[in-house]
Amino acid sequence: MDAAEERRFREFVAARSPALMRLGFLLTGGDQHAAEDLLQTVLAKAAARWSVIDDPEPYIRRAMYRQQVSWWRLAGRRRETIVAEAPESPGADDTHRTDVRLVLRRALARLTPRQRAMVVLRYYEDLPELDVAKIMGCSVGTVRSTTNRSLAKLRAVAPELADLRAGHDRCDQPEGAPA
Amino acid sequence: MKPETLLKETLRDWAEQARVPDGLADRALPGRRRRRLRTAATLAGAGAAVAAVTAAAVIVTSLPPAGTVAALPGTAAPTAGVLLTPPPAEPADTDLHTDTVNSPPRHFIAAGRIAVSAYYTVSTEKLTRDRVRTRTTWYLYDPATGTYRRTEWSRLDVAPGLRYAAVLERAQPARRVGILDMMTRKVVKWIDLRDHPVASVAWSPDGTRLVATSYARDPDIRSTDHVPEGTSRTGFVIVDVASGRAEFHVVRHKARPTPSRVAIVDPRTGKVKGYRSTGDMGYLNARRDLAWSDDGTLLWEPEETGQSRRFIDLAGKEVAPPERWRLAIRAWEQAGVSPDGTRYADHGEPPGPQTTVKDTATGEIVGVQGVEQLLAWADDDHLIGLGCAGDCENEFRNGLVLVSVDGEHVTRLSAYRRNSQAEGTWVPLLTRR
Repeated sequence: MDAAEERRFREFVAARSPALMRLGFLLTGGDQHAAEDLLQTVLAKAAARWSVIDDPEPYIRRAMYRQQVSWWRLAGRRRETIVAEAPESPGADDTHRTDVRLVLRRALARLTPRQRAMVVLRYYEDLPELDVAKIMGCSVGTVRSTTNRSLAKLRAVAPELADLRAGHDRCDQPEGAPA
Repeated sequence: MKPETLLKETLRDWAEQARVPDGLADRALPGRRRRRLRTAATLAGAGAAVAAVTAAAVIVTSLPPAGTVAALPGTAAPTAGVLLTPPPAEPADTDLHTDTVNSPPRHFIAAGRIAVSAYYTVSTEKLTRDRVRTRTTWYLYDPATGTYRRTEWSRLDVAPGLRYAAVLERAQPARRVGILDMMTRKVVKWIDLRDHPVASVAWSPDGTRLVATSYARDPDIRSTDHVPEGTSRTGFVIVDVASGRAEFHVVRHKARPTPSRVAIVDPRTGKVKGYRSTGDMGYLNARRDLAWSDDGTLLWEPEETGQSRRFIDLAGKEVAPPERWRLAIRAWEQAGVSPDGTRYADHGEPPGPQTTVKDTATGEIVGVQGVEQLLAWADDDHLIGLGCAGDCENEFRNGLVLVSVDGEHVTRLSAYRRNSQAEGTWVPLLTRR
């Protein structure tokens, strides 16, 4: 990396790291340290091939999604998401919107990294299912079935999401099959 | 609200909690680490007792495992260095500083060799119906203004000399410890402890090392009905602050503590599923934080019965108490043994308020004081203690006082707390200045 490329890299990181940290934070289920690790790992990989990356932002976002899911696979899925708060169903007195969001956060943190990645792509990044499938390296059907399973878990704690469905539940590929 | 909107807003709100660390580009660029490591090695080689490490942008989260070089000086413009020199035997300033007006204190409090370097308040945070977290809020002395200022750290300890504080972030157990410059209020160095996350930190008496107690779970989370769940302590990490080297050890007791019965709590529901024996870790309290002995050669942990503390060496093996602690170990006053090692603090006769100072060799009473507790030795003839207001009609309405060993002279240092037992009351951290 020459001096000009290094400057371009530094400018990119300075400008985009807030948005990328927010993404990393969601992907890791609200774990600040894990989000930093994730972003740093991906940035280091990107820095190594900076001269051949035309459009760094989508490249890095895609790498973050894949890295997060691959760590989970490498760990034999034994790695649990550590959450300080256990999820609970909002009771009759807890129907305030803030409470629902807190409960939702906890439930999101307890999804598998792959499930959470798809929810983030669909509902945070607002991407169509086809784009989600491309990023995750799977079929549209897998995206739908995985998202639906995730939403079902979220609905279990937040009935407010009852009407939310992801397309048709057509599972072309079992969840977690090698992509 | 539409369900989709609710989910989107939840994700957006949550993402806003992410913090952007400094030095991300530095950490990612190839070759940076090697260059910085070399700089660190040169510094370590050149420095004898003093190691200068450039400040600013020293945030390091991806580091070699503990035991190897784990501190990198930053590449940003060098500012003041972290100069870890042992504090002088006697502090330059031994003037009396009091704030008898404000509770909690607003202005610096100090007497003799000891200062109130920080204070904390505790509140209870509800997590679920059955689980709560004890949340501690720290107010740290600001040498620039002479006042105490609120911080967001979950735990902290101030180094002797009041120049640096070791700080832990809010999520516990924390995976790194920060070295905070008290004057600039900036973290000048992060030390990675991800292999053994910690929930407590304490400076050695010479201000060059830390002992950080590691836990598997947040020790401040408990059931609402206080069912004991035992400790999740995994051991401790000795950190050499200048080099950033961190060594993990487990605690090995001579005899196993008597097992107790503790609850098994379902993490999802917070309900008690059953009970188990504590076995090797025969302790009821979740927190088992370690501290340094007064000469920095040993560590100790508090005991609940029999003796007040248990000493262990820096490798984690339980050892006999030092000679000056032979009798003092049966006393429960926080002040412990005097700086010259000849006297120790003990309780007095009921109904009190009364404390005593005794001879470390014979246990004979040297002096009696009309205070509630003895917290620290201001010098060999004076202690900082807790004294109650008026004629002590209410023992929990108390504040800091300076008292002579003979009990003749009592000087108020702080205002009285309305109720020292109540949640939210302030608790001082006493540090050598």
